[in-house]
Amino acid sequence: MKKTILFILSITVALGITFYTKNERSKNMVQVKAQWKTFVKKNNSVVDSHKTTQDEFLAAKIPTPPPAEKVQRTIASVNPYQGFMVRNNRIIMGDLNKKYEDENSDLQMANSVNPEWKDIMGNDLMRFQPADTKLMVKEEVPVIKIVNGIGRYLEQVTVTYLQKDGNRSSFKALVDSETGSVVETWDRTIHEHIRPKRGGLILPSTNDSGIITK
Amino acid sequence: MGNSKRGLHLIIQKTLALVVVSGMLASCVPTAGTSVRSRVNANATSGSTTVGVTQGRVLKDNPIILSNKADLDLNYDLNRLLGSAVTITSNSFLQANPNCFGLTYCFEVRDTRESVSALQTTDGKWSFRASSDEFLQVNTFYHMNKMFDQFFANINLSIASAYDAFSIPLYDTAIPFSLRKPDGSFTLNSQMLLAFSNCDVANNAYYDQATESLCFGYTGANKALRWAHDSTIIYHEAGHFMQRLQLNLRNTNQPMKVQMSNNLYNEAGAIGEGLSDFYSYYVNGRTHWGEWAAGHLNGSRPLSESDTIHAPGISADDDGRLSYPQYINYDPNYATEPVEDIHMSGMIISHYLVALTQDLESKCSMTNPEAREFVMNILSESMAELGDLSTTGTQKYGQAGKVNMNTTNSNSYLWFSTINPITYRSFSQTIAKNLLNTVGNPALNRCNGSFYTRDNIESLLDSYGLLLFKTYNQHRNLTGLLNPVTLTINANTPVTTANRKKSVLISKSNLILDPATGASSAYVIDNRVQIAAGITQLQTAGIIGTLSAQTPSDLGFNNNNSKVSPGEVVAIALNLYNNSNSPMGGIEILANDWDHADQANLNRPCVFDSWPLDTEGGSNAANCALIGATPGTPSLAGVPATTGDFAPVCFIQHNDSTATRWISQSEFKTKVAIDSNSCLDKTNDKDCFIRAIRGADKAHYSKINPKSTWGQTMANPTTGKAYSLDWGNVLLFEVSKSIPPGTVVNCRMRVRFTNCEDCFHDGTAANNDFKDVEYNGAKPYKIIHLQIPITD
Repeated sequence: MKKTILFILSITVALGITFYTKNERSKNMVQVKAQWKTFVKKNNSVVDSHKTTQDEFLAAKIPTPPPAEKVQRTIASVNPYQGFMVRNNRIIMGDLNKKYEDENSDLQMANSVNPEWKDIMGNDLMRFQPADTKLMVKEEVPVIKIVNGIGRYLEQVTVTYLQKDGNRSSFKALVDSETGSVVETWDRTIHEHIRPKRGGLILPSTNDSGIITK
Repeated sequence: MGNSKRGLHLIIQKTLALVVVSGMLASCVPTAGTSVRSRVNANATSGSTTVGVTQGRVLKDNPIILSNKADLDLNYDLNRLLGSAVTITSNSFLQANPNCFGLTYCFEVRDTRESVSALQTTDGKWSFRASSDEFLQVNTFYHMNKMFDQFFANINLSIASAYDAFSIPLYDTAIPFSLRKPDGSFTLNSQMLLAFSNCDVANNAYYDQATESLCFGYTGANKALRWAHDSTIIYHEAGHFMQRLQLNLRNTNQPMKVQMSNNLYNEAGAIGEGLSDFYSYYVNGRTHWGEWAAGHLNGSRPLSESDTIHAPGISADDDGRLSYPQYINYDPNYATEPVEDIHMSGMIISHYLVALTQDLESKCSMTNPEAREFVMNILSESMAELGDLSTTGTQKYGQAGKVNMNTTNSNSYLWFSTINPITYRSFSQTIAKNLLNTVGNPALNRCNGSFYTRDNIESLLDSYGLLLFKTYNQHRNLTGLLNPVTLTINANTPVTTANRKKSVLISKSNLILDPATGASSAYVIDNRVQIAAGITQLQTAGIIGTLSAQTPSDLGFNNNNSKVSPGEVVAIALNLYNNSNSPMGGIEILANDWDHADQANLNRPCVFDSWPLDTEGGSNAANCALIGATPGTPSLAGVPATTGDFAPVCFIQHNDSTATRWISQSEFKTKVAIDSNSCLDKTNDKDCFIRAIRGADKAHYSKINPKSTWGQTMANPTTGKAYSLDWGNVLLFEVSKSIPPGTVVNCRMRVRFTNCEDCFHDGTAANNDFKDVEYNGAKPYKIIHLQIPITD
């Protein structure tokens, strides 16, 4: 009898969890896969790219992707849409007017989404880097920025540079979804170098720039 | 029907699976020592029999303090300095308690960036030899946890003291009541903070905001000195994380976050470093930072003028304080050599905050810990307001457009980062306002039966040279407007002029180009190697983004002739001169787009400083009269400039058959019949031929001495050796290869400095601060016109 009661109880709890999970997921989770891509500067004119490998995560000392159990524990926190206005599965920035959440409402767009945006950006950010530099780009969340009633498709990414000497640096960026150009950056790394090295810019010994002031 | 059946089967399958998994989990209670992630080994443990479960031993302060030996040898056995047992955590892993910001865990500590998990205990104890990697993690965890507990208790306290029992603000607080959820957690962050106690970085620690992680490095060839052995370093780095939370207390629904600091010199960064030093004092009450880790590199820092490390003449007397801007370039470890470094400049703020703490102890009968908590509360209030991207600023009188422009035009981040960034002036003004609103308000009784007077607030700020403002600016952009509820005019509280004794305000007219005979107004650096190095550094740091596709990756057009040529990327350094008798601090040069063109008339240059004359293409049309100003009705107060009101800094000279005129780049493009594909950006012809590179379109000089240039200010006084320019001292421009040689461009830069008499408040309008929108125009700035010939 005890076993039967225990079994019924377990079934009830399990059913409850199943329905709850299903409902919560449909409410909060919009499918966003953290997609990583690595760009490698081979020489002055060649930049290769491929899906980031585990070895590269290790080399770049990026503590991701987390173990499966961590994903379970922090599942609510990884929903990048939580707390934001959303249109077409994209976070709305800029003019945060509720009307824009209605996907049937008109919104003129200044650009379109080019599926190659990440490659264009990766190549552009690597053009001036020395050979053997690696660039890892994590696609975080798509965005629509609305200014003066006109929307612009953007992509929020995390960029990590891994230099040949092992130095690494990261920042977040908004990237134009059509042109791949970087629109804004933030969350840069803060260092505590003691007496940090300066740029060492040397002024020309004689100034014959021809610049005059008015 | 079929679908329903399949759905039912799926649910039953899921349920059965859950039952099975539940059973497995029930028998899977973690057993110490069985996990594959267990990292404890016999060699690492130390005295585990003498500590209880959940306990460990740590270095309660840094080794210099614990040993009381300033010259403690790097090989000293740190085990001898371990204190009595302390509680570490009852968790199986080094993961902090929940509820800091609603995540399962606030933070966790790992060994290195390669580590896949936090340290796990095998027996519930956390005692390790001081030389072990495990100890580093436990030590880091203990001090971070201590700081987090204190900090989040402070946020709780801030909310409790800002609102009454009905959640109504008691004063114009910037901390939203909704920050704290009913379950006691905070709506603050979406990502767990990771701390790596054993990072493979030499002479450094860092806070990586993009991946939300802290790294603590080492010093010495054999890594004998680990930075995580120094608790003050841990507090300082975690302090950067706290600052980011404080600045974004009102930005929980903003995808972008604001920050104090970046890699190059600016005042926000300097204030951020000073704050982080203060946060060490906030936790441990000691007025020196980094004796062990930084001290071995001659880089430890004092937080009080009473510290013996200071140069002669510095004292806690009003006349001896570390005042702005005199001590901006002061390094107590190398007191005779000027240095431009945010960590050193930040000492003015750390010293002021410690002095404020002590003044509150004295005048409000607070204990030192109470005063430290109160100052932290004031910092949270001030940073929440200054960092607000939603632009409302505060809870009681806040409304859209009060701070950082207006969110509906998406310029708030631009205003925060470039156009009206945090400076020593705005920071001290906001601190003063929040002191006045709280401990300065007798009705709130926050000063134990007394109150902290305006004279108290102003005198202490003035002793640090920080009384740089004329009003407390309580109403910011809404200043001087009719309050529709009370039908009274919102007036800002004025500063008492007599209290400004050390703080010197200088007219912007005194910031000029070097007047010496034969001196250069500006230098051009177009050396290929140097420019390539700069682009690499600025791009990897995230300061600049992508460049024009037209600019070749080998910078092949850069010809090192120190002139501006087609196709080049060039650095331009202005040779500015302080023509006053007092030092200038926080000099900013802006080359970003601004409102100085007549949109209704082909974006022709509006006339400023009599340039250009209308016969030379200048416009005096009504459209130009409205630049950066929104006079009129209250409803217009926060109205931002529209996107179209931004014009690039550079115009181009064009000779036609009848006259020579200055015209916009887009008009010039039409005149010379160049295709859009030949522009720097083929989708935007506004800066088709020359443009300041976004992110490198602003330059800073920390200080310029009286009757000097920056170069003269920074030269070594003993050797006369010049101080090299950094990338933050110059502007970067991209030049199209399509611009015809012989063309002349005029770039209209705007400059200002922090202790400026007429750059931030308007003497013609009750000394109220300029409205944010006005910073998009000419009024708060000195304009520098550079006429640049394009030379092949």
